[in-house]
Amino acid sequence: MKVEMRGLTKHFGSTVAVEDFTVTLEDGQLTSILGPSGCGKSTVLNLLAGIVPVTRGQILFDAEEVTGLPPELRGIGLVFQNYSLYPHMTVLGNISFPLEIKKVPRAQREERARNMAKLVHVDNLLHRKPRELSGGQQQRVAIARALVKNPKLLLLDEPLSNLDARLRLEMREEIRRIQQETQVTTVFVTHDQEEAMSISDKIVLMNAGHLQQEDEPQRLYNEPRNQFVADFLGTPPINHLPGQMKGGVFTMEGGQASFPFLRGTDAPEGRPLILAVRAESAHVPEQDEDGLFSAAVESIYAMGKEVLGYFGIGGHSFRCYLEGDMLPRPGTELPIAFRERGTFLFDKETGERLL
Amino acid sequence: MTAQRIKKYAYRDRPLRRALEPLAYLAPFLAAIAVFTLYPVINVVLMSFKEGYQMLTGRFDQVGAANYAYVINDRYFINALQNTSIYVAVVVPLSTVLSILIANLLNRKVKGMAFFQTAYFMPMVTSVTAAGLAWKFMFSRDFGVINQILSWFGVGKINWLQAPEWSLWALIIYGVWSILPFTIILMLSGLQNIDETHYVAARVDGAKSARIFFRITVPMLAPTIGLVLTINTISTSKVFNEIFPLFNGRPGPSYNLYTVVYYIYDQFYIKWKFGRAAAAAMILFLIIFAITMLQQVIQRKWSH
Repeated sequence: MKVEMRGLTKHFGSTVAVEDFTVTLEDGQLTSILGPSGCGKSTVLNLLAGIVPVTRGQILFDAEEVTGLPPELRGIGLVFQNYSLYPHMTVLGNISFPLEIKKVPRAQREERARNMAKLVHVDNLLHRKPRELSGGQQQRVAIARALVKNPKLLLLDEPLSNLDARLRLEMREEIRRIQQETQVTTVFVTHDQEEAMSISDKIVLMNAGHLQQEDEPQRLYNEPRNQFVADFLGTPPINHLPGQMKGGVFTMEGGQASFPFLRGTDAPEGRPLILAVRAESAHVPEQDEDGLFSAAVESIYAMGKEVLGYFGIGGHSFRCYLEGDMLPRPGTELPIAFRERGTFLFDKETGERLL
Repeated sequence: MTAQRIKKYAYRDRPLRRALEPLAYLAPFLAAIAVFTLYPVINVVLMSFKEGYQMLTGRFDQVGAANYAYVINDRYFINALQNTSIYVAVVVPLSTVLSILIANLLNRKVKGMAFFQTAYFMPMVTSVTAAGLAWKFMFSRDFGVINQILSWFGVGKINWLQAPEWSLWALIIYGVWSILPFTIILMLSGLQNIDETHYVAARVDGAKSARIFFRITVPMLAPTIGLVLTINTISTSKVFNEIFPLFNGRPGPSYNLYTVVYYIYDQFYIKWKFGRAAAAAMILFLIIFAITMLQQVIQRKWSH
């Protein structure tokens, strides 16, 4: 089902939770709504579910307006962060409860519940109570319960945040698998960028109630529209070098370094700028003269397959991956160069991307 | 300084002192328990087997079961057992059901809820005796508000407090009223322990209020309901205070409303038959104990 949100706005009293949010979710896709806590992503989910009334704007399911429709008429399945399984019902009872409400005959609803349990791999646990299940199993049951009535839209509210790291990896692959098998249009709310990057067809990134960018995960990473997007995605976080254009050359604050850009820019002279460089886009060149500037090593983190160096330049910390066999001692001055990809220029005040 | 500290630690490491020190801290409390709980309980058990026991001199004729024999053959005791059983059997379920319904209403975020919460918890802060007097007026045959309300529905005047056949029901109504607030508090806390998302999940799936109430609220409230049943069964089995103000200090209009605890009181303080009072107390204890055990077994089977 195609979901359109047009100018969606939600105010709680004087608090703005979501403002002028316009996004379209394509049929059969898994879309993540990503953002820091309090950015309004769960509110968007609740607005889609119809649990919270809309202040302004429209929601359309397959071009049909549902803005004022109560949740039970929207044909949605909802999975909560804490799963919210009914503790007094068995797994089978939990999964078939939505059908019981719809007055589906017992034999039929149990069969459908069993099929759903098979899909999410809990068919051997049908007669257990939720408290006898692990977190991952509870999650599976919650997904089965949400899917059993064949919803047109599946809404997942931070579904993985109650799981430990290993299970989280497993369950996110499971959610992807289940989504692809059922082809149900899915919205996945998360604050974990890695989760969103790995699972989604499309990511909708929000901050402070506003849409920042919607794009395929890799495009979001490679072509951030503003500084917030660049900052939010990526581990380690993107490097910041403040400075300004002087005579067509980027000059760092304090003048420790200045260099021409690989690409031309029409960034205005004298305006405060942020040069943002992903850690993997910076490197130590083989020839010293290829470096844009030199910086002193502060510390080195060897993390198995890669080595991350922390450099100090003009009071700023700068992270950069080093070649595998390089383990410079702290204090060593090394040249640093950037690659074009993963290097962005932002206006310091507006966050707007200039290059 | 250092030497002192070392010495102190060494002192503390002595095993005997280590074992006795906590006991010393607990001693005041243990002493209070021993004097005010343990000693009386043991005394009651012993007293119930002493025949012709004199409280003041401590003398008794012989040890035996005569007190028990008397009590279980006493028609007033049998009557007291009947009254108490009916009282428990009506007040406990009625107050449980009412408290679930009222707690559900009070659990909503509605304007003016503070007023209703205060109103429902009023009985808790008023003395049983003072409130009992107020109820006496309300139960009055000719001027009472209860009969007046009933008259709107065509019910004739009921002589709540003077007619023996109605007096138990007056006591029951008053009993439900006085036990309700505490029960509601327990139910409210139980309701607040139910995660809101369970309701949201059911509502999104299209469940109506009645189904949510019976399929989700009540089952999830089961542990609290079990607790309430146990506590209220125990407390209503000991019904006594409520009788005094309603019936001018008598056990009902024609001595028909003995309850077990009233019987114990009567034997002990009025008739000075200490052994019989103790025997009756033991019987009550055994009955409450048995019922509570039974409840625990049933609840364990029912709870999730």
